[in-house]
Amino acid sequence: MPSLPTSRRRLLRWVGAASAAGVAGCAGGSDAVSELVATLGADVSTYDPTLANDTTSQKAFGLVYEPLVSVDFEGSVRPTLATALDRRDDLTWRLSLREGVTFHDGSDFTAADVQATFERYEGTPRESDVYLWYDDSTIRDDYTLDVTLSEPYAPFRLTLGGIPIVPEAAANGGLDLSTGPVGTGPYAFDTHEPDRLYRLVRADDHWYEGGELGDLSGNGTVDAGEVPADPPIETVTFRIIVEQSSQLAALQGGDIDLANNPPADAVSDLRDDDTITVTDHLAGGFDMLVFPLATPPFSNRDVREGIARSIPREEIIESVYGGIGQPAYAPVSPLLDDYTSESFLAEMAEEYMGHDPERARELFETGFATLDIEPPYETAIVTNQTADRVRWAQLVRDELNATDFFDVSIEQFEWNTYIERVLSGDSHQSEEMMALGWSGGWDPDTYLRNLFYSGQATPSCCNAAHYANDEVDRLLDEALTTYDTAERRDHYEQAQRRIVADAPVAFVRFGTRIEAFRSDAVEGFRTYPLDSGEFTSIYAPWAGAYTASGGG
Amino acid sequence: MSLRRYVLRRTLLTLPILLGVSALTFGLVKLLPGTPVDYVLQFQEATPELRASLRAQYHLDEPIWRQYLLWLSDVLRLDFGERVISDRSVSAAIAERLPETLALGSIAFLIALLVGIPTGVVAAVRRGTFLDEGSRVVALAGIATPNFWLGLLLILVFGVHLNVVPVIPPVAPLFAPESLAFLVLPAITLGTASAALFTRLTRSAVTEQLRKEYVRAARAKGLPERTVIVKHVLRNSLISVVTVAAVQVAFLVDGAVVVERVFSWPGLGRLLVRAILQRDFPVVQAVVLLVATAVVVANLLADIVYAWLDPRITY
Repeated sequence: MPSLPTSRRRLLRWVGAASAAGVAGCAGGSDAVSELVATLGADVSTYDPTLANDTTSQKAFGLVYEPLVSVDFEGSVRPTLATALDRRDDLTWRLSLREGVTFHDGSDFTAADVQATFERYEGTPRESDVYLWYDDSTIRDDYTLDVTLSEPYAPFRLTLGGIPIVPEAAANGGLDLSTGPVGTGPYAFDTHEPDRLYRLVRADDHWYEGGELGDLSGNGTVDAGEVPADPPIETVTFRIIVEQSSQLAALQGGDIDLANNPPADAVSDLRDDDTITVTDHLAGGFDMLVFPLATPPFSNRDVREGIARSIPREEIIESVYGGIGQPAYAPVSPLLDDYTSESFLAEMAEEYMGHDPERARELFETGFATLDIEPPYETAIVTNQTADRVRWAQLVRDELNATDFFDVSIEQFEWNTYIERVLSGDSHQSEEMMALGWSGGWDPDTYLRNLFYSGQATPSCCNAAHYANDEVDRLLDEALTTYDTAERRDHYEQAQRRIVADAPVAFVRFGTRIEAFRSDAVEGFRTYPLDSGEFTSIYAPWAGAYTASGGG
Repeated sequence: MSLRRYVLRRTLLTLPILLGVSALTFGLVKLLPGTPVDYVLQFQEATPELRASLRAQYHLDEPIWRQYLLWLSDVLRLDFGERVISDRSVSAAIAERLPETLALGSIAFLIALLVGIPTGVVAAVRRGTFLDEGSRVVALAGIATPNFWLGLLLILVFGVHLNVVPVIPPVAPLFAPESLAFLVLPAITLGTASAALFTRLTRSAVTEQLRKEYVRAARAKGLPERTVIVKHVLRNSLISVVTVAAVQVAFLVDGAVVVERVFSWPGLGRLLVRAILQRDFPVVQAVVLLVATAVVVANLLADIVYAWLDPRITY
């Protein structure tokens, strides 16, 4: 009987492995062929940006398509396929495009592609990505396009960063994006084996040739001097691994090089493993507890503030998230440091939201007396099955139950049932609090409008509390249509103050992104803080970032 | 009635069953909260026209009986429609994953039979000994162990600590040696409960047969014990095992949902779970119908084999 093989490669040889590709594939990025093996937590559904409503698909084409501009890790707008954006008047923007760029199918990139990309969104599930602001466009020449907006739109430049440019042929039926994404990015689509892997290969003639990139946001040119003209990694393979514990086992077993967003409770184990590097970054999003404003006692501001003050945020971060994250006392993520600050958050904590059981008790007493409700009030926290969310909801439940004013239970639902419960039109009349997570982007409007604007009350969108405050509506509208940054900052600060004071929701925690990678296989990887862009730093000259194989 | 007529009648009887299953499948999927439109538009602002056109696209604006008939007429032409999220066809998605699930299920089934039946025979023949008691304990543990737990345990031991097998499937064709080698752990995980069941079942069937007169007669004739067990007892015992084996096909598909997820195996189970989560109704309906058909056909085959194995059965 042969002796037991001691390594994976030996076993593969032992069973007569014939396929060299197979061996390289599972051995990871440290082989001669530079391959980075990362993971996706679900299968890629579509390659077409106008259909993609799942972040996995968006992640999967993030290195293949490029937008006109990209937003770097600090939130500055950087040139990608556009070299200049000039505002001609309140409604017209002139876009100057990069010359000499080709799509992966060999066609040249011109203004016609940009116009076709925009107009392709009409009547599709992602229509609002473009038609929220787009009215019309005029092609001036091959590399110049005038875009007319339906009304002034302050986040215009940032928003362009979320529109992947596709070839004109995709719009007129000459190119079928359902068989594979075709963009101008540093990586071209290679293969997708459903539920198994999704593979990209380095694109031969990506436009970046080294050196500095221009400036689009007044924050200076990007010093991309360090970034090589071509991506150092030749092949990027995403293995599709649904089960998080299998993902971690694959990382520890050396089958993959990089695990994106491992669960918080695994982080300390990973940190103990000296072959693995774990890093974390603030991400654009937060967790919150939403109150049904139409139902007593949640209709009472004192009661809401009391609950907000009962939330043990520091303890949640410590025990649920392994010390990673930041307590949230207001909606706009600290990632957008132009629109929020530590002192502002501290002030909001002090005045309205900070953990203070003593003050909470006083507020409950006043609130319950005003409403003439006999405690304890029986209610629940509605959550889905995300383990971390359930655990923080349990801590909030324990804290509230300890006050004698509440008898709280936890109600867990499967995702779609949960979404239907919390985003149905009468969520504000339910008798339960709702534990929700929210992902925002680089513009403050993305943290405020959908959740706190009266017109966005469910089922239109996500204002589950049905919070309605004319002053907040006005501030949000004005902030969205003014291009004056200082004025916007002021509007958003005022809006946040009012929202936090009214407490239609209690903010819990600003999210983080965690990445764990094999120290000997990955060098320089950094997670992009927004949901669908995590992997863009594999090669992002516009942010001065790139990932190499090797390291340690 | 001849065996041929019996087979024909049993086969025809499956048609109304399949029709009932299809109606039930269709109805149950419709009971799930949420629609494909909700999923497609999640958190997106949409004009009423866009909503209406999406509803029309999935026939949601039709009464439910008409939706069912539309679907059924497509299914009868083997057209399972387009997937909700991607623009690929349901048939293509199923065709991509069916071989993977069949391979996993077959190996698991084979392991279950090869382990379960001999163990059961040994336990029955050596009734009351340490071997019998040992097999009882192992079988009980096998039935009680959840697939996901056993799967993760095997991954941790063989994939991480001993590091002798890959944790995720190798990038190779299904029938390449490394793919088949990889399948051993998932198949063990999937087959354990069935193996345990076969052990217990074979044991009791063989025990029962051993008490019969014909066994005493065979032994009295001086037949070697081996011949008595293998040629006579086993053949008679297998009748009940065959019936249960057919039902186990359903359990294997059931288990594949979990095992495929744990071992990142790209089969039908994973397709089904994701389709349910995404309210990808055409996929859910097609996969459930396929599985139901497989179970019905397996039962039909079991009945036929049963009749063939035991000539005393009248039809």
